[in-house]
Amino acid sequence: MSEKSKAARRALVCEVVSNEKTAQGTYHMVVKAPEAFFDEFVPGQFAHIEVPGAPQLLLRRPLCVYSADRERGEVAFVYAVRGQGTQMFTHVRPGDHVDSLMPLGNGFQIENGMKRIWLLGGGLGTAAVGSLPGWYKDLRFRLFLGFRGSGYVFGEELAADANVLSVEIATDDGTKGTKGLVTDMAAAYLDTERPDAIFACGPEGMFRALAGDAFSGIPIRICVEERMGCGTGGCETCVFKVRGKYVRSCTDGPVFDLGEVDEYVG
Amino acid sequence: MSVDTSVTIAGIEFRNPVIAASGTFGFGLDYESWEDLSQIGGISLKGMTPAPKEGNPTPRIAEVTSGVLNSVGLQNPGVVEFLRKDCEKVTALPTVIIANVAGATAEEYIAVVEALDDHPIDMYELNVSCPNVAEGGMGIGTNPGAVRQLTEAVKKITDKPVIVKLTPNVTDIVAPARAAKDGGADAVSLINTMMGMAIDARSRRPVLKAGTGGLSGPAIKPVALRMVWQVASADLGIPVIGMGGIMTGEDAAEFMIAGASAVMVGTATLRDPGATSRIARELAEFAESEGVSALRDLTGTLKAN
Repeated sequence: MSEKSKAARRALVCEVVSNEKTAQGTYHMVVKAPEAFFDEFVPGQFAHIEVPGAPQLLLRRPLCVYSADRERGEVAFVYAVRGQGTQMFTHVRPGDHVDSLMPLGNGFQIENGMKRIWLLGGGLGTAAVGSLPGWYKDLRFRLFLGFRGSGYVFGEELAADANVLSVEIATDDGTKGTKGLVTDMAAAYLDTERPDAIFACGPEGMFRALAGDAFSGIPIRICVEERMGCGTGGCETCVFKVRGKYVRSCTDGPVFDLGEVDEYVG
Repeated sequence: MSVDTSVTIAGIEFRNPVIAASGTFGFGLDYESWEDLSQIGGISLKGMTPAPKEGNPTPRIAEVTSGVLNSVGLQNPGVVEFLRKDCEKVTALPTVIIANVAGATAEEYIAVVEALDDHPIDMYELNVSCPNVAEGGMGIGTNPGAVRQLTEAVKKITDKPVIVKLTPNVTDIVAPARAAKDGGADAVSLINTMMGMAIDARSRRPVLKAGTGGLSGPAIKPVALRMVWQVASADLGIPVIGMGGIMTGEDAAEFMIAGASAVMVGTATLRDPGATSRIARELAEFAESEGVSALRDLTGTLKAN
């Protein structure tokens, strides 16, 4: 952590700019964020947000930062309605405020030689990788996004970014783009191009497929999701096994090197 | 009027009676950026065992109405790793440091205390109340004889104050409290979590991978208050540290009124990483608004109806 962040961090109370449905069961919320957020933010980090108006729902909900726009001072989250808390998020209106601990987690690290990166999103996992092209304008990205069906698709607008080479869509039922798994679609593309790295977020099946032979030799970083408590490293409930040890996905993750995750690689 | 917030427990002076509870604050090092540690009374460290403990498989947490169920299972790096990596930094933190000690057998508790004793830890808190481990933990705390024996054994090998942390999963909370006192405990802390369960109606499975877990948060406050009051009323002659769902300074005041000399704050930190110092500040504000000039004057002031 930088010296600057040793100062007392606290929850940010952020004004809501918009909160709209973006796909089936999926919402896009934009809030105003202070300069300090953008000084710290690394794509892949998340926000841990109180459920507004529900003190009986004690735990914050971790939402992916889908985009971070320093010029506008705005941060967007994409979330799916999964239970009571996320259901209540859908009632938030412009002008309301949300209490958010952010940015949290380690984010995707850009290492030397990573110039052309493939982003793989599986369903809601797209939310975790969406902020990369807008943040790293000098890098090149190719997006492969997979969804259950056309009603669930989001993220296509990312194709408009100058540094996004293409956005390829796959759907389980074939109602949009290629029918089948996003990992099969990406594997087929390896005949044409070899990325310097793959950053991915999606269901377990996607991570297992990425651990397979088709992708061998490519550095792969995955963003995982575990039920979370504090989000700040104190409660040890969000653990994930890496190299035989349980580590905290809120603090040591949520981004990990796929090669170190026993369950998918072993 | 400026309120005197200091309290003394077993000879250890606390700048205020609000302590971060074990299991919700790690070893405190992750909270230096979120919390002003010079504003909190103390930290009870994550429970330590002699050897590293991996903890339970996930999911380890479930939210319930006004509460949290956890089945962490005492994941900790073990006392040897703590000494190698964290002890120096932890004992340099600007607040009272209480080492929470766990084990499957009395020998294990003793091994942890022996390893720590030469280091500047201020106090020990014996975890005889964790519901998420197969041996030790709650298995000891539900058995007053075992509580007394363990406390005696630990008191033999250290001069530092020993707090015994009690489990509410008993029919009579005074019995283990008295047993701790008889074993030489310098204080008792209560309550640890209540054994509970959450079920997913559609998958028809428990939400926690381990099945059951420990319930904490506002949902248990009424039980915690009642038990603190019962133990304090038993007049055992040792201080009581109260905990169980404290979210505000007024909650903390209720525990002190019930008989607690200090309080611990755990689940509140899961929602607000700065909860411990906030609650300390709110407690002082409450006292000021009530014309109470010293927080210790709140202890045991419950009036009968």
